[in-house]
Amino acid sequence: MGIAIKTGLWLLRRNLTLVYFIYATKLILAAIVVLPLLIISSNQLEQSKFATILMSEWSMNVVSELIMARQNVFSILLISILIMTVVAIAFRQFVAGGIYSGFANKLIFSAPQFFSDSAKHFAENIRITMLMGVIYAVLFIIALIAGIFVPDGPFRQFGQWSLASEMIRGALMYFFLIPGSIFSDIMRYRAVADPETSTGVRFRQSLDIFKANFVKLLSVYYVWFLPFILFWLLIEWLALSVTQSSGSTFGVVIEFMLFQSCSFGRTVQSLGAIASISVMTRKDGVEIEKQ
Amino acid sequence: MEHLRTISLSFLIFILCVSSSFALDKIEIEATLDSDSQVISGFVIIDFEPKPVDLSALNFRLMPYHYNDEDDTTINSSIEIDSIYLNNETALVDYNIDETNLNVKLNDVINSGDSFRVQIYFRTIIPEVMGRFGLWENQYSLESWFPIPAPWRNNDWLIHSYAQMSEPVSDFFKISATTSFPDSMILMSPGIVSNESTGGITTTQLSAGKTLDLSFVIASGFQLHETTCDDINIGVYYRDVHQFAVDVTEQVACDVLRLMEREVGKYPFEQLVVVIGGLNVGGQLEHPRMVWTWPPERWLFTRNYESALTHEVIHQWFFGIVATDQVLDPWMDESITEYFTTKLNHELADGRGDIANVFGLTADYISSSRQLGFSTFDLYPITEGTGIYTSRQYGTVVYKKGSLIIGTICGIMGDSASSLFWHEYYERFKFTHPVEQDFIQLADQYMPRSELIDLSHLLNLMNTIDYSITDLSMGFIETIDSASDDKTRDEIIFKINIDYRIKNSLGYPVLLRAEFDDGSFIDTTIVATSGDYTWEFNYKSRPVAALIDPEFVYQVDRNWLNNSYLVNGNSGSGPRLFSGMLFLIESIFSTVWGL
Repeated sequence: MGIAIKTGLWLLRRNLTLVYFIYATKLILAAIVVLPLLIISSNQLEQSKFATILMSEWSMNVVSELIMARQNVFSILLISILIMTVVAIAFRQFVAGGIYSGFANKLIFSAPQFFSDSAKHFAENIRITMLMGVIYAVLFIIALIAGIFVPDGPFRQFGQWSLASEMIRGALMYFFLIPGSIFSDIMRYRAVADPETSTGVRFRQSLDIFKANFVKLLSVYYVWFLPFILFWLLIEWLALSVTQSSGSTFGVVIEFMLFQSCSFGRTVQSLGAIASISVMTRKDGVEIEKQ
Repeated sequence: MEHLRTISLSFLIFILCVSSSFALDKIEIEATLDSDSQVISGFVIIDFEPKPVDLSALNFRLMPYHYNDEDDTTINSSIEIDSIYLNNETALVDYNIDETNLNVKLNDVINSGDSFRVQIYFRTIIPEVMGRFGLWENQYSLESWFPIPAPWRNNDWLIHSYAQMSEPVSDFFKISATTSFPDSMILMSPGIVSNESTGGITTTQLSAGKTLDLSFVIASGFQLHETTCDDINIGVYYRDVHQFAVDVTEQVACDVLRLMEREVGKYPFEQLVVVIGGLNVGGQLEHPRMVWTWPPERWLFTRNYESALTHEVIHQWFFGIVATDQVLDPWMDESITEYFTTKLNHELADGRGDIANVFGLTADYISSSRQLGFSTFDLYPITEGTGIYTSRQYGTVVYKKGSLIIGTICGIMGDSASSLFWHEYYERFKFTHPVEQDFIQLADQYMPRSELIDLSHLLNLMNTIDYSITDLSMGFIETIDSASDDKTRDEIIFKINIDYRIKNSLGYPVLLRAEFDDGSFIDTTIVATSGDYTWEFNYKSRPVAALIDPEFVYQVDRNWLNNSYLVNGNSGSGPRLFSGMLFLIESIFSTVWGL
């Protein structure tokens, strides 16, 4: 597992441009969604004393007034989110080929190679996504059933204790979905390693690899995932602290930087985990860590 | 002589009117619940006090007919009348039932001034349905389940046609009851005197005292937890599965009892009962001295449950004590109750985030009232009867828009005058049935500059108003030398123009304020018709903000964002919303991508 983590870090270092590219794309697509909101609302909010509270707390009173004052805000935002989500899903399927091909072949990021690989494997990645849709649905049902077994008894309270109960239930359900995500990575690695194989054969090969390396795959994922969760919680706490204590432009700027560092961190974590998994995805199910 | 006779007759009628307004008709019920046939049957004896006019007919309300669903013929609730007796001897056979009204023709006129007794044998069929009247999962929720006299108003019977959203309208009675049911169940209600079980049957004696109605829940598996709030007993019935909500329920009930005593007047009864899960559909429901809540879910945001409970406890004053007509004037209980719900919610949450206050996200009850209230603001006035509204409109117009209008009236009165008003309103009308004009006439006395205020217009408001500051500009008009304390210094005088706009003016006074960089401010009160105006004045300090209605007295103002104009902006609220939304959307994309 140590070699997998080291390899993941090594691949990330060689592909920092890819990290920046994915993060920047995410930022730009999100900004396209949100910019109309900023344009529509800035005049309403900036001159208003009532809206000043928004600098220190996420006041739904202000948001509610904004929606009443500009009734199109909400619908514009909703439509933008829906359209951009479709664009984002399509984009993700497209770049998958470039990402997995680059990591599998230990390439240094170059745009022509990346986009060429992306285009080459686009159709197969769409097929894998459709297959994964079914697998995720099955896993989700299993997760729901598992969630039922989280007892309510110890949390016979309103308020924060009920939240604790729901968080445990959510974490348990997420635990069931993670193997699906890892299996998806293996399938995509197999697609770039052996593009001629049929999806059915690839599914069986991936399953063999998944079963043979189950514990290590999960361990690698959690080594990347858990620090990010802690980082995210820290960011949320810091962002809240700084805005609530300052209630000023300074706080807003710091919070923006914290949020973006968290968003960047999420991309690093995800790509790092994918890169690390690359060392365990040979079709015979044998690790290649030692090679 | 003729003159003397007229005076005597007038005096007699006056005495009868006065006495009838104080003496209560007495109702005694004896009923048995047959859980096999889903029927509660027995008899009701009503001892009527003398009426000031001769009576040739009697009218009774049979509310269960109201709970039938026209679209669902499987729901069958009714009251079958077996027999009716007058003064224990005369059988009254000439009667008919029309919707919820039982009209009984009398064989002989009952003379004014005569007291009389009516005994009705009845059989109430309970439908298998969730709601305020029905059987569901072996739980009987029974509201207005027996024949009760129609309201007596203005020397006549008041016959209501109950619409979908109508709630029972009743006079005050002194009600006592003896109810029998299978001993696997318990009866939950205020005023329980005794329970006796023999032969598999429990018999509960109830003395409801002075009340509008007698409702109760009969079910198994409930327990009672009692606590005392000052000198009032709070009884909470609950099932094991809802034990987690007992503490919150008791705390909210006690807080509201105390706060309403301060806001309006003392709760005049010794007991308040809450049945958790008494209402097996969404929402909560008020009954005299009792509240039924829905089966609560465990959740982080308890304020939803607490707010609903607050609303129903406040109903004990506005419906249970000040007993307005819930069919003709639903705003007089719902709008007023919702206004106090907003006010008390705010206070109970220490003035911040009274719906939600979690992870830096806050929301107040009034913002949801504004959002919903303005969604149908120009559709109907709040003062219509229940028949005109759909269920959604009833909620948004009568509850939400109504609370904004009552809030505006109280805002215009000011805190201290409005407090005096509500205390007097309560003292004057408790245990009576005030109407819209009673409210207007009394409220008018507490309005500042009442010659400007047409309360009837405000209650019937259909146009949304908007006060806004459109611009604040300034210039230096001169630099002068001024002597003060033997010192000479230069003083800059600012010429200030504040542009403001009034849309759909109410014609009432509104406060205009200018704030300055040295922390000082200047207020002026304007009374203006709709239009664009400029407030021009000179001042020694630099203005930083202009505000119209800075205290948000006018809750019916559609847009509170434009009530102020900050010269330098607030430099951050827009960007912060952008930043937060950006991060949220990025997170959604990350989840979709796995990247």
